[in-house]
Amino acid sequence: MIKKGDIIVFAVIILSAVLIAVGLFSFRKNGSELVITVNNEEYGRYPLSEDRVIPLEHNTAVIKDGFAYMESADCPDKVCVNSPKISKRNETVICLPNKVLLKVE
Amino acid sequence: MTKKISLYALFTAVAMIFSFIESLYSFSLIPGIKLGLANSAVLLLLYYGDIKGGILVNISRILLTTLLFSNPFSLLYSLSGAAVSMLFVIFLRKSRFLSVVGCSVISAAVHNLTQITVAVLCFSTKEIFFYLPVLMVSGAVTGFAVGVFSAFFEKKCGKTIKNMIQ
Repeated sequence: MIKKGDIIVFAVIILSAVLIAVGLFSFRKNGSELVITVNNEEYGRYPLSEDRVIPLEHNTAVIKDGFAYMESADCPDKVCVNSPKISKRNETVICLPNKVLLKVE
Repeated sequence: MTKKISLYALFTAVAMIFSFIESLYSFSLIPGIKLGLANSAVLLLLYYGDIKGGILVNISRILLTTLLFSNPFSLLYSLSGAAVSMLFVIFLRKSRFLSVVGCSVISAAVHNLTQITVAVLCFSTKEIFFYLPVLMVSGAVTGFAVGVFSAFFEKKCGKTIKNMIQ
């Protein structure tokens, strides 16, 4: 039922994923501000050092204790709300249906 | 001809039921990851020769599922992911080294890769690529599970299905 090629393909994919992950995560640095982009246009920049609630048209972003996260959204899948909090440079939270991007810079 | 239509309708319905069950709860802590069991219906048709049927069932179940349970924006990601992954399966299915399981792994991984590429193109931020390793691993694992399921199903019911396709 399972052939040799299946195992090879599976192993190759897992291995490449691990290599990419290692490469990506060795370049993390602490970020200073949150940049919110709506519909590919920069909406605003907010320092991570100040706690803040940022209401957007379809989403609500929150900065608290140096972390940023999506508190609520009206999209059906809520992937953004369930994403982990971000604080390091280049980390993102993204709401695809509403075209909202939270990014730490 | 009527046999084929009812077979495709059955496959589409079953694929939709799988999608619905998966939509009821998330299978893991990571957002956006799903088992993709519905893909087994498509794989069974594509891998065992009925390419037109496979494409038809896949497009039908994606359109119907999206219109019923989701918003049309995700169609861009679903359809592009499905199109590219089907291309790979169609070309790789005849390989001696791969069974349905391997095709399913590639199908899932390629589907995820395509979706992330479309997202990067739409958002013009390459930071989304951080999600790439997660999607690749989950694609490989879920693809493997779905592939095993498909192979098992084919063992039990394959003859019946093949007779209906001919």
